[in-house]
Amino acid sequence: MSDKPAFTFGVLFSQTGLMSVTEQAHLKGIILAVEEINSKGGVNGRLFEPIILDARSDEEEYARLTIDLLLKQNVNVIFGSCLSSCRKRVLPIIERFNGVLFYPSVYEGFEYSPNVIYGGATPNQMIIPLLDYLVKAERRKYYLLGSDTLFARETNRIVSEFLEESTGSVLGSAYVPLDTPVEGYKSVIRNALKFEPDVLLSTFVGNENKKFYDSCFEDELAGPALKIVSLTMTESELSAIQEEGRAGHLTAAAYFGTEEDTLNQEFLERYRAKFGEDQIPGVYAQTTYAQVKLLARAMEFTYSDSSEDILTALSGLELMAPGGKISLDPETNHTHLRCVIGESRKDGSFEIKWKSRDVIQPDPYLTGYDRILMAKRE
Amino acid sequence: MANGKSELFDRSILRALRESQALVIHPDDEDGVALTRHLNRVGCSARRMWPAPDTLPEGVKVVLFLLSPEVGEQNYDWMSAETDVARIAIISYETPEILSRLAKLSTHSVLTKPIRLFGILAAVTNAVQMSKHVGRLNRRIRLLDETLKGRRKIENAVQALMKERGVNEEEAYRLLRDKAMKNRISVVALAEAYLLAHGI
Repeated sequence: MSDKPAFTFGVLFSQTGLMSVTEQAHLKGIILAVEEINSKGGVNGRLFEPIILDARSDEEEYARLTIDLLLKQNVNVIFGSCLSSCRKRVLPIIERFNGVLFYPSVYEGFEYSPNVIYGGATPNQMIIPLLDYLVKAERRKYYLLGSDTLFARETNRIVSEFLEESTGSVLGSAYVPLDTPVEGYKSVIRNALKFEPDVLLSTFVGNENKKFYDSCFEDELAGPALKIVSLTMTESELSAIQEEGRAGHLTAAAYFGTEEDTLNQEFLERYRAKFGEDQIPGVYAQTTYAQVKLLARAMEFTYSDSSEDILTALSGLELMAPGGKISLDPETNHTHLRCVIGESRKDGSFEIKWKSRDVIQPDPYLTGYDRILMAKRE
Repeated sequence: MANGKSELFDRSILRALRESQALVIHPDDEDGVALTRHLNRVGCSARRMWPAPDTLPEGVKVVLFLLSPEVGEQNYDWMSAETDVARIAIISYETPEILSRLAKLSTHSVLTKPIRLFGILAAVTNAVQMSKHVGRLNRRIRLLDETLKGRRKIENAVQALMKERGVNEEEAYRLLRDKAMKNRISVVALAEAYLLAHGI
C-alpha cells in the first residue's frame, strides 16, 4: 500500500431531483474510472479519492457545495454539473478560487473559461451533422420542443438558422418550464402535432425526458411517420421510460454503449459487473470516465495537483476512450469528439445508424460554421 | 411561444464580428495576450500593438485600447477622426480623469482590468452595434442638414421670383421646378444659381 497522501477531488452531480437520471449516469463513469485507477495503485503512487456530493438538481446547492469543496475540503479539481444554469452558477466561483472544473455534458457553446475542461459536445459537433443526416433522409418539417433552458433556446436558434439555409423549415417551437407536471406535456405535444411536423426535435433534459416520451407514447400521439430526435435522450433516460415506447427514436451523441471497439467491450464488461447486468452505459458515463482518465494522465506528467500544473498538463492531451480517440483542443479547452447517430431500441440500447468519419473539432463560438454559411451565400 | 420565427436572433451581430478586424492597443503582458487570444477565439481577427500607432491601420473596425495613467500618455487623437470604428476602452481606474477621457473619446464599451474573458464578446458586439448606430444617425443628420439648407435657398429664390414676375408662391415654385427639370439639375442647385445671378 502506498504511503503517499491520496489525491482528493470533488464530484458534484445530482443524485436527486429532476436531473437525477442523467447525473447518476455521470457519477457511474467517475466511480468506474476511479476504481480502475486505484486498482493499479493510483497515479504516481497516489490513490484517487473522490468526495461525492449530491447537488440535488439545484443551482444554489451547486454553488454552496462548490464553495465548500474549494475552501473547506481544499480540493482543486471538481467534476460536475450538467444543466447550463448550474454550470454558469458554479463558473465564477471556480474562477475566483482558481479551481479546475471538468464539465461532462453536451451544451450550447458560447463559453470559454481557462478553468474549465469541456468534455461534452458543442452544437457544431452534434446538431449540425444530425440535421444534415435528417435533411438527407427527406425529413424537412420540424417542430422544436424542449425544457425551458439555455441549452434548448440556443440549440433551437442554431437549428432554425441551419434550416433556413437548407430545404427544411421550422413550423414552430415551444418551451416547457422545468418541473411541469405530466398533464402539461400532453397539451404542448398535441399543439405541436397540429402543425404535422415530420420531426419533433426534443431538447428536454434529465427526468423531463420521461414525461415527454411517455406522454407521446401513452396518447399514441407520435405515429410512425414522426420521428422524435434529441441530443439528450441517452441510454440512462431511455431505460427510465416505458418499455413499449422506447424504440424508434433518434439521438445524436459522441458515444453509444453499443460501440464495437475492443476498449468499449472491456468498458461494458466492467460497467455491468459494477452496476448490474441489465445496465448500458451512455455518453454521460463514458465522458466522465474518459475525463477522469485524462486527469490521471495529466497528473502522471506533472506529479502535482495544483490547478496551473494540471491545466498545463491537460492542454492538447489525447486519450483512447471507449468508442474511440478523443483529444483536448488547447485553444478552447473543449474536446474533439465524433458524432454518432443512434436509433433507440426496446431493450434501452441504441443501434448505430451513422458515424462521422473522424472526430469533429469543437467550435464553441461557431466561428467556422458562420464562415461556411457566409461562403455558401456568396 | 407558438412560433419559432419570432425568436430568431439577429444573425448580423455575429456575422459582423467575423468580418471585423480588431486591434488591441495594450502592452505585451498577460492581459494583452489573453485578450487578443480570446478575440480570435470568439471569431474576430485580432492583433495587438503597443505603443498606440499615430494613425489607425487600414481595415480595422474595432479598437480595444488601454487607458491608464500608469503606462504613460498614449496618442489617441486619431480616434476623433475615425467615426465608423467601434471603440472599447480598457481601464484599471475609475478616477474623474479617466471618466472624462472616456467621454472625450466617445467610447462605446469599457473592459476592466484585470481582464476577465467573460464579457469581452458582449463588449465587442455591443460596441460594434453602437458605433454602427451612431454612424447611421450621423449620416442621417448630415442629410437632413443639407436638405434644410437647400430648403432655405429654395424659399429665398421663390420669394425673389414672386417679386420679379408678380406670381404667387405656388407658381414661382413651379417655374423653378420646371426649369430645373429641363436643365436636369436639382431644384436646390437652380435656386442657388438664381440667387447668385441676382446677387442675393
